[in-house]
Amino acid sequence: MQQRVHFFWKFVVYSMLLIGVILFIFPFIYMILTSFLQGAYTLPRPHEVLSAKPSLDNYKEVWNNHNFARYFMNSMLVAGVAMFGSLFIGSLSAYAFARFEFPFKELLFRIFLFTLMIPLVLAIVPQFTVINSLGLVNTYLGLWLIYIGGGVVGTTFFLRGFFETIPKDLEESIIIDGGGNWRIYWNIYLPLSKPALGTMAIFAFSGTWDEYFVALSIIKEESLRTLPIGLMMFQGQYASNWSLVFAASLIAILPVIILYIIFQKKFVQGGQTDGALKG
Amino acid sequence: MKKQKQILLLLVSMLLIFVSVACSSKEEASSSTNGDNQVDGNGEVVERTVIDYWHTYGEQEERVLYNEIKPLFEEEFPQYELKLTRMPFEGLKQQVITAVAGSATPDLMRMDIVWTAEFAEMGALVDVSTLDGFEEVKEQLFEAPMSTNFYDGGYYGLPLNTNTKIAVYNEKLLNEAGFTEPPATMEELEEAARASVAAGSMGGIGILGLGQTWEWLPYFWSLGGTLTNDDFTQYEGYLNSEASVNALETILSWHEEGLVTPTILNGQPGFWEGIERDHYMMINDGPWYFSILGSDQARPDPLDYTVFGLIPEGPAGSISPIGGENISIFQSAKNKEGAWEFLKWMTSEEPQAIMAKGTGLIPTNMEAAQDAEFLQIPYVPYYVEQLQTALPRTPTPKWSEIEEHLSLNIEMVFRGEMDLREALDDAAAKADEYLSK
Repeated sequence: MQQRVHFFWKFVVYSMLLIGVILFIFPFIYMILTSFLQGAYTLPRPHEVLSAKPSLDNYKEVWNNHNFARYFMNSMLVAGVAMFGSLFIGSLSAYAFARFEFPFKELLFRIFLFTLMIPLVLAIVPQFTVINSLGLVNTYLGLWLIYIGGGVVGTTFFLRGFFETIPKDLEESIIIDGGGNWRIYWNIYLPLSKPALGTMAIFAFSGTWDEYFVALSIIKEESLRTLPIGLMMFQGQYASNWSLVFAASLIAILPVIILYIIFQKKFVQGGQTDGALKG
Repeated sequence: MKKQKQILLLLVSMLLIFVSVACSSKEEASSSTNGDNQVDGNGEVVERTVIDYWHTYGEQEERVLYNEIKPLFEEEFPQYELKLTRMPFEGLKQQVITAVAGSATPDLMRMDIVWTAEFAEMGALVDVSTLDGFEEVKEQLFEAPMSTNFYDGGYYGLPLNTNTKIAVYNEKLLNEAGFTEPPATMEELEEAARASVAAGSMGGIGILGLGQTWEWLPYFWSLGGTLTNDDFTQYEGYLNSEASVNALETILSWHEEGLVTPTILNGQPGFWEGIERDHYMMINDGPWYFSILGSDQARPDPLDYTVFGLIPEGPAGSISPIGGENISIFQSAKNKEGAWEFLKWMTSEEPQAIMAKGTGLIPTNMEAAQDAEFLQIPYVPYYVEQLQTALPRTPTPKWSEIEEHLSLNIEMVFRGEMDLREALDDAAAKADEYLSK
């Protein structure tokens, strides 16, 4: 009897999970199949999609024409540097907020957080004006300034909480050996925060990888444009060839998926400080 | 020892940052100096100033612009270099506003005709009617598209290309409905639509949606409806006049009878899919799809299954809205002189004819519109004729807001959530309120 009830609940749970998986994955499959079609100016009907034959023609066209490869490399550079920049500076400031005592610390932190609440659309004009007066319009430096500046806040907020869970006693081993704050940060906090850093890396990367509006405002030169702008070019004013749009989008999400696969192992790892201290 | 290591680490990371900075600025430098000066045939260096042009042409159009227009202009005006930047539509208006606020606009921009007044009001555009040779240019251009540049006593751009909508019929379904010729009047259209729907088609009168007035104005205007008085200063008494109410009531009765394509309330299939696959007897559209679908090998050529006609005549005649793009000079342009030079040249006969033949875009230059080769394109004469009676939507800086409010009301009417008369009264009052602001 007990066995049967057990089986029943298992069945319910698994079917719900399965339905969830199908729901989430279905649009994605639709997208992949549409990218095999030719000239889909209106979104294809289900029977057309299901009869699609795998072909890489659209992918080839996307990659070879329309400067797409160039945009891809541009985006790699932009998002890569922005990711490392915001992780590095963000973790440094998180360390300061977690471990140093200084006047107005909490107030400063709140102000820091407050900038997270400002919608991008409101901020873009003042941001652009600042970047413009610095003479950084049309440079990646200007873009990085905004991306890293924006990314640091989130990273700091996230990592501060994480850093505070790391036992202070661990630092003593370094202090005894004559090491300073840098060493504590570099040899204790960073290695122990790998799960948090991995998560933040994905957020930081995909956040800037997808970013369209700021990139378009700052970068005026076509050859410096990033991938999301390239993607938008496939959508015309009157008509969009959805098979090309989808093929381009699929190429565009590949790096994010790869990054996710690399870092996903770090997500669930916990207990790195277990047994580090004697109770 | 430890100290040294710390310093070393710091130095290395700083070095990394500097290297990346250097890389990026190098890239920028190399791309911006490209072609500023050109060595001519005699080996002499010609000083060239750049004209920065943001455009929104599609792919096929961009090819003509790049391969034919640009070389021709630079040959005629060797002192200028035309720098073309294609802008995506998504968030374009916000982009322009940002650029205007930061005084980082290009010299020129091609923009939708309904934007010109809005940016003129912001003080972002140059009044070209004060510039040299404006009168001669104006005389060569069609009056109606020209009027879309008018704002507060000045002209804030020149019309670059124009378009309107005509009626497009699925030939097979039209014949099945008992017509061998496209309907000439609204009554005939109604009759044909009724017969076609009875015979199993999904719609006989095409309305693509209610989100933009552009979609239903051909019927509304032709049936006698009006938006404003003649100088676009008042909606009250025009938008909600008896004639406007009657016109909209007729359209509503079509919808309730099931004669209108389901696209009116976002139904499927889309316009061109519907007409290609014998679902819709009639749609109305601009000229762009003919060249897009015609050049795509994977889809049947629309010319094989459609016939064209003017918007059927109602009590007020056959009236369709004017669409298209204007080209304007920004106040913060660095090269105003070159920009004006290009504007004058671009609206002259030759480049207009090249664009027309290469893309099917309808020229605003009267001479170019008579180009024999251009008129050979099967659908073109219909558009040119329709343009004779076409009307501009209200050229006012508040049009976007007015349209949004009006569209919302109209949609509520068609969804049965609002009384028709009340909707027009409210929209008229609101529109006048926007105008007086």
